[in-house]
Amino acid sequence: MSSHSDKSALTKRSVMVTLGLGLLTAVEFFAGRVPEMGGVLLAIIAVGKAALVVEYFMHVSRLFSDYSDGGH
Amino acid sequence: MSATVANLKYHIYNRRFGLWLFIVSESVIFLTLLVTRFYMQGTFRPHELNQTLGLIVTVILLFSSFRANLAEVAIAHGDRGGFVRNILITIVLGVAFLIGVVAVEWPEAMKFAPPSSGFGTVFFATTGMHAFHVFTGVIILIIVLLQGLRGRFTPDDHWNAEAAIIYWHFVDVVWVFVYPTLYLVGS
Repeated sequence: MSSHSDKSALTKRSVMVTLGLGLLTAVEFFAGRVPEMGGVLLAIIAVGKAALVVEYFMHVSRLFSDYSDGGH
Repeated sequence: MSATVANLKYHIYNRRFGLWLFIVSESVIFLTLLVTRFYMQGTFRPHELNQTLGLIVTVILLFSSFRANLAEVAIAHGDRGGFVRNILITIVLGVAFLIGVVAVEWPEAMKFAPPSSGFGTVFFATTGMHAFHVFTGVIILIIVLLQGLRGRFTPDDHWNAEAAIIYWHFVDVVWVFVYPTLYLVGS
């Protein structure tokens, strides 16, 4: 994959992750307005959002890759 | 791969590991604050808490994370202009978040300010600790912005920018848990 198309793919992924985070935040907001929903749903959504950021924005998986490729 | 590049990548790998150790240790502070909220107040939440404002600052911080990620992608591909533009937007959004919490939300929350309310104590302690991290994140982003403007980073060597951006995302992840814990849970 060329550098340009690689950058384009990473940008698209970033947009998709952000849209996912926005959607989960909207669900979270409305779930918070219904007391009967309880904290379990909110906790599941928060863990899901954190997982998206940690994996796709913070690149936690680079920690487990071979250092010889710089973790990229 | 040349020996120099291999050596650089080895050092970046070690620095990345150190940064994550720092992030995990920082997480314990916030975990303690969030547990304290439930220990002291259960699921009680004051009516006066402005949920809409909480949502607005949450969206601002999420969007800042998006821009920070675009900045990282840009500098990793040698696009200095894109890096500078996106870091600048991230900084502006970070400052907007701080204004939203400290200058708008806190005066409203004075109705349950400590020591008159247990919830207020947890609320101000948690949002205050988080705002301090946002503030330090903005300072660090300004530093890497200046380094970027001076041409300090290359696609192979931009560790300072990567570290600052990972720290910024960490601040976002913390808010992912603070927001529902303070603004949404309970009635």
